[in-house]
Amino acid sequence: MSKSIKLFYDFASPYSYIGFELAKRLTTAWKVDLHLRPMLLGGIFKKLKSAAPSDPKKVYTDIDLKRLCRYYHIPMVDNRAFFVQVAIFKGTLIPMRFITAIDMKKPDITEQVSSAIYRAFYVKEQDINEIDILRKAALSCGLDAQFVDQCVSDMTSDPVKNRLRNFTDEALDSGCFGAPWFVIRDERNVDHSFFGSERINVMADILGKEYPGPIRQSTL
Amino acid sequence: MAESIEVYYDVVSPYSWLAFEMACRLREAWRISVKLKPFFLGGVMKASGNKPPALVSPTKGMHLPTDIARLAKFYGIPINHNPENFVRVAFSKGTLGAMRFITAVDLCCPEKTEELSRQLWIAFHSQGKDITEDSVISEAARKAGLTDKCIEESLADSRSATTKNRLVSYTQEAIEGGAFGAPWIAVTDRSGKKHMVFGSDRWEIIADLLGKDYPGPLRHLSKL
Repeated sequence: MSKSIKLFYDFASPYSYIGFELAKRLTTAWKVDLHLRPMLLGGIFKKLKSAAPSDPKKVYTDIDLKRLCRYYHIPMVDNRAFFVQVAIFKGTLIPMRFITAIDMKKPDITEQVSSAIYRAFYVKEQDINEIDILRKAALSCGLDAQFVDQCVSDMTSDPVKNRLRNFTDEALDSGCFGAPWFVIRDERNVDHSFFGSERINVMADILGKEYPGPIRQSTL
Repeated sequence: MAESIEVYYDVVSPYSWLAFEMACRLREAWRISVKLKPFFLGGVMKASGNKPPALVSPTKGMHLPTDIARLAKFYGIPINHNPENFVRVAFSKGTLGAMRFITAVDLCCPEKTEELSRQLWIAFHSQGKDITEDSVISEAARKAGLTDKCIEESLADSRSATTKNRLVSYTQEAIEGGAFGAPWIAVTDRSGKKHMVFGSDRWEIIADLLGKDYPGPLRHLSKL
């Protein structure tokens, strides 16, 4: 039985960005499989009718993210207003469908393209709802233009829409209420779900691995 | 400038217990000043407009017992989360009485504050007792080594203006620092700068801010 880390993520969430980066570092350090599950966080919030954070919590989130990124050496520019505008007011349906289209055809490249999209958004401050930005991110990973164009047109197809919906439902079925959502599979094939990136020491314990600290070599 | 950790806590909060125990262990491991600041979480929620995690969404609420059980096991803290008792104490009656009692004791014999707080957490989160009852509070105080006389006086002092004002003042202090929940931790670094940290799951960040090594759960330093 293979120990693994399954990560449900959405580009919308800066905490997801941190979770994605940490998932990559941990699965490399611990030599366990990483299963990526691009989902739609907006779908989760809508289904659960989640309460929005209060103002002091929003202020704190800004500081918390800066400190975490500094600690983990994860690059993120200081432009919360832009991230909120794109992620919350516009939403991330387009980039999540795009990565889904890629994942359905070439799952081996999903991690790389997701990294490129995260980088485009959180480091280069590009609007990842723009198809050209998504195209560039995919091309930068060595995918050919024809393949990328096919994924762009597949985005609005039923299989892609359904797959994104299915992964979002899968997250909900496992108890997800936010992102990142980790599902850790232990050696007895039992799944353990975690919200956020704050339980790495407990995850290490469950997988019988050493807690590795921040592992600062960024893979972004 | 002396580095220090100030822990604002309310015994209603199991996550506060985790932070409290970790802070006590770090006081030893890092030889750092740790100041306990009993406050009133109800007041913080009201002022900030925040909701307790269980009320953000029912699904989040369902995840909490699992999260707490895993953390309790990881840190070696005997939390036996009983949702029914928790809801009854936390939401219908509240912990104002317990926090005022801790405050009264802290004002007269601060060397007892740590163990008293621990015994109240044990009574509530480990033994499922109702800490809104004076008899339960008194029993916890006795286990913490307070004399019957001291317990009687502290129960009376709980209702005094001095005690009430002190609880309000620590609560207000936390709110002004940006608090919206518990535990709320104020970390003072070597240069005297204060950093506010929410929750019991940022110890690596706190270690980083203090230029210390993160030592893990320090189960061997447990006082339980």
